[in-house]
Order: sequence, then C-alpha cells, then structure tokens
Amino acid sequence: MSTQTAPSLFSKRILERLRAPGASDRASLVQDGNAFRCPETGETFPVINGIPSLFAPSPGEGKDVTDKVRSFYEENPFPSYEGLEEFGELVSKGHANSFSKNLLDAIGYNKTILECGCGTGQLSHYLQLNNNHVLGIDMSLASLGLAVEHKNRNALTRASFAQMNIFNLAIKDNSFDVVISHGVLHHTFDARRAFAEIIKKLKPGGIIMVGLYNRPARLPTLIRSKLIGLFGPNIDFVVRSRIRDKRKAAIWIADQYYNPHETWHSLDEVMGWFRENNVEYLNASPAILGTDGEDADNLFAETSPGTRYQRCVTQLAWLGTIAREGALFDVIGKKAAS
Amino acid sequence: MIVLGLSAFYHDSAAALIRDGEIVAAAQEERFTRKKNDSDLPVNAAAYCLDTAGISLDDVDHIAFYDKPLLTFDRLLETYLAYAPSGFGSFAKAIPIWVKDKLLQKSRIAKGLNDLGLGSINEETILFGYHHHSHAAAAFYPSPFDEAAIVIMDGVGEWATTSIGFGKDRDIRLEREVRFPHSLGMLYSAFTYYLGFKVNDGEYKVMGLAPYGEPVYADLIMDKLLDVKDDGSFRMDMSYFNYTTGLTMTNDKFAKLFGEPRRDQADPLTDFHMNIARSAQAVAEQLIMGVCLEAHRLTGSKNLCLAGGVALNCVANGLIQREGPFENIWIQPASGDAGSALGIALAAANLLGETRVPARRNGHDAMLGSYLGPSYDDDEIRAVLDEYGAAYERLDDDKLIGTVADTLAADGIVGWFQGRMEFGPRALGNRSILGNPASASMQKTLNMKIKYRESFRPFAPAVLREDAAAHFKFDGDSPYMLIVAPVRDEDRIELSGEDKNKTGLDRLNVVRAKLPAITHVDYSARIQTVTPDSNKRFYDLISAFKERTGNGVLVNTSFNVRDEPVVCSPDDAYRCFMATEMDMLALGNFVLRKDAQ
Repeated sequence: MSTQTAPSLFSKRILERLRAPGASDRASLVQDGNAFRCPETGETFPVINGIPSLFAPSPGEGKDVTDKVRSFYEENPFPSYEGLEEFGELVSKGHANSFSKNLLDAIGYNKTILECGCGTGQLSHYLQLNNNHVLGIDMSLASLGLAVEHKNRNALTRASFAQMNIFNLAIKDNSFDVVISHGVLHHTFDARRAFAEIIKKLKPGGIIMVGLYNRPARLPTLIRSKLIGLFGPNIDFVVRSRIRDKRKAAIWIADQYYNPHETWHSLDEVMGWFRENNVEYLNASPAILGTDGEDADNLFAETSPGTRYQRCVTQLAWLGTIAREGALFDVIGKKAAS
Repeated sequence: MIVLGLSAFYHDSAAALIRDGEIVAAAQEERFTRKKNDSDLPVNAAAYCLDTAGISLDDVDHIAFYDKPLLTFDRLLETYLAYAPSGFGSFAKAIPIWVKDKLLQKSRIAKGLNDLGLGSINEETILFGYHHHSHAAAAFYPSPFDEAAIVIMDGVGEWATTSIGFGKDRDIRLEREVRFPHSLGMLYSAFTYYLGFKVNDGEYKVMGLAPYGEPVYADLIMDKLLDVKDDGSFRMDMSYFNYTTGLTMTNDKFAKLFGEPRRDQADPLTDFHMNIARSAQAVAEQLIMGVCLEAHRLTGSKNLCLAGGVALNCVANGLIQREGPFENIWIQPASGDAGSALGIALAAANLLGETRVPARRNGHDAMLGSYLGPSYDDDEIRAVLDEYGAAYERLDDDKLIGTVADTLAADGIVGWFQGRMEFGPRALGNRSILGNPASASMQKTLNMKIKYRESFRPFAPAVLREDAAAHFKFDGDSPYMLIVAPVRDEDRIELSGEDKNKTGLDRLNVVRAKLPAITHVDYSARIQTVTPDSNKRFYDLISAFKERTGNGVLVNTSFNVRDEPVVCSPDDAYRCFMATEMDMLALGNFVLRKDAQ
C-alpha cells in the first residue's frame, strides 16, 4: 500500500542478514533509536545523514589505498542521478539497457541480492523489481546519500543501503541468493582478497557476478588518460556519444581517468579465484568467443569457459569493443552447494 | 459461412473470425508475440481464432485482407512522382521493400498461414478489401443502428484519409473522401513527432498533455498549415511537412513557424510543448466537428458510426456527443488498423451472405463487450503459478470479490485478470490494473511505480452505469471508454490562492477533485460505464467497492507497463505483477498478495 512516510532503513529480509563486523552470525543487529546495536559485543553503529554506518577498518594492510579511494568517491559520487529523479524513469532506462534487463531477468523473483560497491545505487534500485530485496553497500557516504535520497523520494521499500568496508563486512555468512560487484574490486588494495570476502556472504548454490577492468582491454583508457589533459573529455567515446548531461560527463571522466587506484584483471585470473573459492564458472559478459556463451539466452546460463586460446583471442577482441566504454567485463559463477 | 479477417504489414496486425454471422474471436498479434504494435502477418492471432472456433484452415470459406496492396503501391508511386525529385532518396529505398512485401502479399499470406500446420488454404481464395471499407464495416455492422452516417478518419490507408459514408442494412456507401497527403491523422502525428513522442503510439500523450496548455497556436495552425473548406474538407500546406518524401514528419520550416526545434524525447516538457499540444488538439476537434457536420448534412441520419485511428481521440468524441448534430454515436472499440481485420471479415460476410451480420440483440451492439480474446481456465492458471512457485489461494466468487474490494478500499493496487481478453487498445475490466480513485497519491503511484511512465498521464474511471450521472456530466453508455466528459461541479475542489497560480506540470500535484486520480487537470474524465450485461464480474467488484467507500468508481488502466503490450496470458500477468509495485493479483479465482511472495 502507498505510504507517505520515509521507508525503513532496512527491509526485514535484509536486516535479518546483518551482524556487526567481526561478530558471530547468531547476533542480529537491533535498531536502537537512530543507531544499530550488536547484542553480542554491545557495539553501536550510528546512522549518519540517513545512512547506517556499519564501517569498521580492515584487519591488516591496505588502509592508505582504502582511504584514498574513499575520499575520491566522497568527492565524486558515481554514477549520479541526472535525469533519473523519478523511479519510473530509472526503471525505463534499466529496461532499455540490455545488460541490466538481462541481469534482472536472470535473477528471477523474490531473491535477496547483495551489491558490493553500489555507488549511488541505480543498479540496486533497479534490481529490487520482481519483489527482490537488495542491500547496496559502499564506502562513500556521499554516493550512498544520493541512493537513500532516491529511495525516500520514491518511497522504495526493498532496496536498503549501508556504509561498509568490503574487507570487513557487517553481513552474515552464506546469507544472500545473489552477490554482485560490478566495477568495484579493481579499486581495492587486493581484488583477490576482496573477492574471497564477498563470496563468503553468498549462499551455497547462489550466484556471484563480478565485473572488473580487463587486461589488456583497459590499455587504451590508460593511454587516453595521459592525453585527456591535452585534448579534453571528447576523446572519450562515452562522453561523445552517450552522455548528454555536463555534470554526468564530468563524473564519468573523473571515475575513468582520475581514479587514485585501479588494477587490471584477466578471464583466467578470475577463473583462478573461482577455483580457490569453490565457485563453478557459468558465463561471461561479453561472451567468450567461439563458446556456447555467445548464444546463451540467459545471463546465468551454464556455458563453456572455452580454451585458454579462445579466452586470449576474446580479450584481444575486446580492445576493439568494450575498450572504448571502460573495458569492464563480468564473470558469473555458482557457489558449490556445501 | 466462416470468414477469417486479417490486417497486417503496416501497423497493429490482427485477426478476427466470423462464423454463421457471429463474431467468434478477434485479437491483436502483439499480445502473443509481446512486440508492441507488431505488424507481421498475425499467425498467432489467426491460430488463436481457429482454436477458439475449434476448426482448421480447411474449414474457412474465405480469408479477407484489409487493404488493397496495389492501390497502396499506386499511392506511394504517385506521391513520389508528384514530389519528385526531392523524394528520390527514400523512394529508391522504399521501392524494393514494397515490391517484395506488398505485391507478393497474396502468396506471403497463404504461405504464412499454411506454415501453421492447421490445415491449408488456397491463395486464390484470399479477398482484398479497401482500407476505408474495412474501417467502415467495423464501424457500422456491429453498431446498434439500422442506418447511420459513417465517418472514417485515420493517417492513411491506400489514398483516402477521411471518408464520409452511409450505412443501411447490408449496404455501405462511401460518398466523400479527402485524399493523401491531406490527412488529419498525419497532421496529429506530425505534432506527436514534433513534441518528441513516437508516431503511431504517442498520440495519446499529446491528447493527455493538451489540458495543461493553452491553445495559443491554434489560429497559426489554421492560417498557415491548413485550408479548410465550407464542406469540412481540408488541404494541408505540404511545404511544412516531410512525410510524403522524407523519413521524418515535419521539417525546419515547421519548427521555425512555432519558434522552437523539435523536442528530443529526453528533454523536459515545458509550457511551450503543452501549448502546442493543446493547439493541435483544438484544431483536430474543429476539423473533426466540420467533417461530422458535413456527414450529417449529406446523410440526414440521426446516428453516427466512427472508426479509424482518429476515432480514438476520445476528447473529440465527447465533444461530438455533447455538441455534434447526431442524436446517437457509436464508436468501434478497436478503431485503429487492428479493428479492420474484424471490419473486412464482416464486409465479406455481409457481401457474400444474405442477411446483415452480426445480428443485434435488443438494441445492443454486437461487439460482445469487445471481450473477444483468449481466456484461461483454472488448470492453466494453476500450472503457471506452480511453475513460478508463487504463493496463492483460490477463492470462490463472493470471497474473491470481497477480498479484492477490501484491498482496493485500503488504497491497494490490484492486477485484475479475468475471462476473455479485450480486442482493441483499452482494458475494459478483464486485463486491468485497478485502484481507488479517491486516493490523492494514486495517480503518481500508478504512473511512477506501476506503469513507469510520464507523471502527467491521466487515468480513466470505470463507473457503474447507474452512478455515471452522480459523478460526471454524462448519463449515457460508454462501454468502451472512448468518451471524455466533464466531472460534476460538486465534485470539483475550489483551488486556494497559491494552487490557483500554478501552471504546467506543477498543477499535477494539486488535489482538484473528490476523485483526484481520475480527474484530469481540465476536470475531464475518460469514462467506461459498466453494466451487469457488459461485464458481470467487474460490475460486482465495483459494487462491492461502493459498499465499502461510497463510490461506484474505480481507476481502470490497462494491465501492462510502458512500451509493452497489454498482458494476454497468466504468465504475462504474473511477470508484470512481480515487476511492478502492485499489491495484489487476481487471476480468475486465484489471488496472490505481493507481501506473501
């Protein structure tokens, strides 16, 4: 039923999947006025500007990278909402985009979805269609602020947002049907370790989708980043052909060319992560050339990973295709049933 | 005698089947293929029609197609020659396609149908009718009148764009016509295009946007774009348009006349666009009224039948009903090209038969409420729900009506899927999304979280026939939701100082009536009247809602989201329910609650 009051910070199905960073899976968080409390450790977590902050530092190294990337996205919330203020517009745009539409169709109905590195939350908001419950987490309070603003303005109830550290998640293990991290892990100090952290949160038999900058397809972007100061933003294909709004173009340029930290990854490397974490390969987007992935009618279909040679040719071919749009590729896998 | 009527290859393909003078089935192809405005040969719709009749192609006496391909070809050829050489580029491009598609239509139709594996037809038995005859037949034969004036207005068929005729018993004579390129449909589409909406689809949006503006450009349009004669016929100054020779509707000269370039679909709607929409609507109403006056003068009939795409302009229809020269009007609910599949089948049946068909019953029309599409039984529905693992319960009729009415009364939004699908663009209570018209947030919620479309789009009421006059300045039958009438003065809310001065889309959020969700900014509403005869179950539901709220009115909008065809099967309905913020789905007697999924 329609309601005029702001929707709650977490839907019930999401709240029961949360715990304090480092606490046991038995201790669910409790909302205590304008804060969340862990009954086990007694710790409390504040709600800052409408965003639950469940952030805890990572154990061990990497703090300098984390801090740099975080402050970058505090200044440059990505991808921002220009022209998508109303939920209906966001949904129309998501339906028109074959990547997001295929993702939604593949996920199905009534699922729980964790998006690690949700930025300003468009994809999380879109995926709450089909009665799915989505938790979007990010480090940047500025980005999450825009996500929550969209949520409240449109009275959306099934997408929730929280500030978390991907290396120290405030989420119970084996709790989500689907885990997505689209274009995020390559901005962490150790993408492989981040992958191992997020995969813990996936239910056995659940689906993981991880999107990363490709080596070698990211190379043209690196070259452009050396030239962009000289020739200006129009050397970027996306700015030339897709983005109409000036502010949105500036945010895209900052994210692509001025990011303080990024790493590049190959198909074989991700498949190695899959093996280490008991994840079975399902599919890649774009598809691996010469495999049945090219004709798959479902993004989560079980397809052949191809040979090392096919994967190598595929990635060289990406130099001519996805390279101009940020060189992001996604690999999809299924966590083994325990 | 069994006749299968088809329309295809332009837009909105459809099939309809007549057996022994009764309309057995009719449906649009888009509902089956899920491609909006699908224009391919309607093989799925044809298969559905045969299945409903329980027959194969071998049993069909005649296949009737809704226009004459050679005449259409002739129009293309002549238009290009008349406007040569500027049109040669697109002419050269269009010719091979038309030669292939249009001239070989006979064999293409035969092959497409025979490939269904449902018996076979001989291509020599295919009949071709005139486009406007198809429309006229769809408008007159199912109407409740023995004799009537007939007015057909659309974009273009073969040559005719506006036709005036007279129907009596089995005879239809078309007496006057305006020919391409002079076309009210094309004029309206040109403004649709100029306002950044999609031609053949966004015309409703122009009509919906119009009440937000003022008709400040109407005189300019009349002066510069049109030359209207005393007899209602008109010519357009083609130097402002590009559709005869190019691939766009309007040109730079058109944009200069109004002072702004064509709106890009992503640009915001401004007062300028609203004023253009209102002006185009005002001119359209004036032209339509002129043609109707001439039709009345020529025929002397007190009855009028309307069809053709322009007849879907329900604002103009309301005006004709209130202020026009006719006592009675009847509008074919599938008045676009889809309806001509039915029209040409009826034309053939009347031409080749001995009595007028279909027979009318006690002064009612013979459209069967336009509920001419597929229906699904309990087993079929249950199989789909189990396949999805949906949580549902099956209720008996009384419990179903009560449960749905309770949800609606608590401002819940319900997907209502019952019986046979409607033929034509409107949902009339069998493939509908329903809501409480008294809720102040209903219009916005429906637009933004159910239909995912522009927030200015208005919604229409379904009202108990006997309660129509209690809410609207209207006390007649409008079973097909094709007439717009004013909301009663008592139901309007006087605006306070600040709200009064709001302009454009800001007026959207002002509560301006007792039933805000169905009252447009100009205090109008597009009405569907419901009787126990037309749709018993829907009537019972609205009555149960009235018991709970005092209003025998529901918001009734088609069961689909933006840019998708209306749902046809239980599978379509489940997916649409899950992809939107509907609270409840009633599939026949099965009820699904969103919060239980």
